[in-house]
Amino acid sequence: MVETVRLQVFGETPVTPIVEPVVTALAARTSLDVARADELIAAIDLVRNAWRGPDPLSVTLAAVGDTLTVELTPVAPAVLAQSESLVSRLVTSISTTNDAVTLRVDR
Amino acid sequence: MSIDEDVLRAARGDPAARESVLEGSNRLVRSLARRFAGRASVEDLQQAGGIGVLRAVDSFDPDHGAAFAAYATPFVIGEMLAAVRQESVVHVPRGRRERAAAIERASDRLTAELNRAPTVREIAEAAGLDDEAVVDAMRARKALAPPAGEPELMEVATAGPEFEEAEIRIGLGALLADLEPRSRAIVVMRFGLELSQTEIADRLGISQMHVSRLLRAALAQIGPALEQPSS
Repeated sequence: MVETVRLQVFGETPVTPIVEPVVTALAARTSLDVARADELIAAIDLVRNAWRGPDPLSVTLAAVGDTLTVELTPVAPAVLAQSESLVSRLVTSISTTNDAVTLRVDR
Repeated sequence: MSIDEDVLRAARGDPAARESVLEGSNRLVRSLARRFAGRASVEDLQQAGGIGVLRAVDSFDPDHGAAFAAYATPFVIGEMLAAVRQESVVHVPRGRRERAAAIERASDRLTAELNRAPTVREIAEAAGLDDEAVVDAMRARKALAPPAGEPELMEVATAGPEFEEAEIRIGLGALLADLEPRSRAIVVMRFGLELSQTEIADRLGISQMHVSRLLRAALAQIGPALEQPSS
């Protein structure tokens, strides 16, 4: 079963208080441990720094089996370069397109 | 009568003089309260400031040459900071704080038993709560007083060339130096030594959940600076 939650974050609104309960709830469904869930939240916060308005930041979270994925758009992956090494250690994998970053965490 | 003369009488326990000193310090207290605007109510800050003034009265010695206002300022700021800290705790209802403490205890126990961080469901079962209550309580964890940890373990964990090399390897330079020592140690251990949160918790003598809180706070501090466009 796939569970998907899509959030839109406007302006400079802090993203963590919005995604934290969603990630934790989805983590409960995927049997992700709390340390992995917390590190995913930290990774989302780091990627959010690469958000480039004026469009709102769209955050799509999906739980599939034992995997949790989070896509953030629009973000500029090139701007993420400096923190990518940190983000990559907080999640199982990170993939990018022109204006999106997808984080994946496996159980 | 000058405020310094009032202070001397107030220090001897004269109630009218204590009132007079408080009134005479109103301007100082209001001015210092502005520094903490929005972090606690104005009434709480002014009340805390008054306590600070009276504490200063009790230990003021005019022979040292400092004016009373200058002497009282650190006392007033200290009490206001305490009020701000108290405000952050008070804002979380007691029931949520108790559930947060319960999940922290359950998490500690499970981490020791399983030798890894537990899942939300495992914590829920151990704490006798449902998943939703755990999700809610996890958001309230910030309200818990941070455990102090063991200073000796901190020294051991950050000593030696292995730690210094890891510090250089992650390449955060001055951003790392701006972090308080324990947060810096956690960032270096997580990203430079590639230890898990559970392993870091063992080394520092604190809980995995507290490692997680400190790690997230550290990343929130350095993250925005990482993405500053270079000039």
